[in-house]
This record gives sequence, structure tokens and C-alpha cells, in this order.
Amino acid sequence: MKEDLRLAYEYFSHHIRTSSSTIVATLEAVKDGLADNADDMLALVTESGFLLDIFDRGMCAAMSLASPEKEVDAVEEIDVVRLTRHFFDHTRISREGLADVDIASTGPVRFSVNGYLFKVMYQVLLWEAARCARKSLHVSVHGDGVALESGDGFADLPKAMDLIIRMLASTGVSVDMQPSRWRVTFP
Amino acid sequence: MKVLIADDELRLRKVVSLHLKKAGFEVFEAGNGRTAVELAKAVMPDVIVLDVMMPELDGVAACQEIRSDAKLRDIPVVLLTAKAASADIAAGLDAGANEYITKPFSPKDLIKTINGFFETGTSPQD
Repeated sequence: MKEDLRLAYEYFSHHIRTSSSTIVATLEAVKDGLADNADDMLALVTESGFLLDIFDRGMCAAMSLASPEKEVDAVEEIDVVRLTRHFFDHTRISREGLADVDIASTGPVRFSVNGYLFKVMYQVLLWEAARCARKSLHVSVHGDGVALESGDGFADLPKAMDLIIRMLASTGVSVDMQPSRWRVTFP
Repeated sequence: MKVLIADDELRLRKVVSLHLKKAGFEVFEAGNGRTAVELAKAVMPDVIVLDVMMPELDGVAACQEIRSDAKLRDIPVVLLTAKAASADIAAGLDAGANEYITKPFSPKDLIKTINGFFETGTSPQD
């Protein structure tokens, strides 16, 4: 438990502080007239705020691991196709330099789950898939799960990856990680 | 003056690079510690700025390699990191870093720190 909390703190704090730094540095660049296109810079601020929110919620979820009386979050129906597109639509600038992402789905894919924990940790998983995928990431959402495929494999997984997967598992969602394919299966 | 900045977060690296370029520095970028050390050998920067949590080789290990390299050992190193605990700061300074700046930070403070090296001629032996 103590090691999990240390890992969670290091992982989420790193991303929270990095997103905060990006916001501060970008706003200073706009204020000082350094940017050629202020609109692009402000879009980066918005995206960094989006990621900051996810990682802050992730920290909150991870800290709840230490709570002796675990809160029971509301079960809600999640549209995974919508959530997946929402995440990638809101991280376009932040994913510059990372893998190109394409998403395939045949229609809405819904299931009921602990909404708060699943939505947060699923988006963290998507972030790591995009960050770690070499060259391209193909995301397909069908039936009872999601496949995240990178033809060239995934590299540089964070130490907290196992914790992220275990937190998803606590919602009944399993993640099978193969060298070039991650399979997320809903309960 | 040449500054090498290494951070695996491209969005932050790009914005900090913009600030450094506008301040008059020639900027070189690396996405991990391993690339940073290799790039440092190639371009011989005047200052190296390293994130701590990076893939391949983290910032502290990269700093140790820089300090053990005869060509690079005198180049000032700034660790720019999310790890703000006193033990982390001590580890960074023990690895040979000249300065340790915690995120979030103002790019103006980083530029002030870098300019300080040029004004004082700081090296690890100082």
C-alpha cells in the first residue's frame, strides 16, 4: 500500500506539475508577445487544463486507496466511444510529436461501472497508450472492449502502469498488455 | 550562448524553448536523458537543463554521466523537475547539479538562473 501511494504520488504529481508549468509558461509567452499565434497558445493552455483535471482526479482516486472506509461511487452508464473520442479530441496539441491516433467503432458501446474511477483511469490509460506507442496508435472500440494497437509496439511505460491497471481492475475492467496490443475488457 | 533542454513532455519543452530563444539563446532539445547526453557531446552547450523524470535515462542519472565525462563535466546543469521533496533535491545536488528548480516555475526564473551562470562563470568546481 505504501509503495502504491508513493508511485501514485510521483506519477500524478509529475503530470500535475508539468501541466501547471505548461500553463504558466504559455500564458507568460502570450503576455510577453512571444507567440506568433496567441490562439494556438491559448488552446494549449486549455488542453493542459484538461489534462491537469484528469491527473488531479487520478491523484484523488489513488489516494482513496489508503482510505479505511472506501467511498462507493455512483454506478453510471458510460458510452466508451464518446469518452474515447472526447479524450483524443481534447488532447490534439498535447499529442504533437506522439503517435498518430485513429479510432474505429461501429456505434455506441455502453456499460455500467463506477463512473468516476473508470473515466479517470481509462483516460490515463489512453494517455499512456498515445505517449508510449511507437509511430501510430489504432484504437478500436467494439462490443465488450477496446483494443489499443501499435504496430511498432509500446515503449517507456511508466512505473505506475501496474497501479493504473489494478485501479481499473477494481471497477471490473481488465487490461491485457501484449507487446503491440493492449486489450481493455469491460465487465 | 547554447542551452540544451531535455524534457519528455513536448508541449512544455516547446514553450520553454520559445522563451529561451526569445531571450537570445541558441536552443537544442532532447526528449530523454540518453539523447541529452549524446546531444551534449555533439553541440557542447553552455548550460544543460534536465527534467528528472524522463524515459531511457532520468535527469539525475544523466547529470551523473555529464559529471563523469571529461568533456562535459564543467557545464552547468539545472535540474527542472516535479520532484519537490527535500530528499529529491539533495539527490539532484549530490549528482552534481548546480541548480534545482521545481515545477511549476516561471520561465523568467529559469532564464535568470541561466544568465547567472554566465555572469559568475559558474562551474561544478566553484
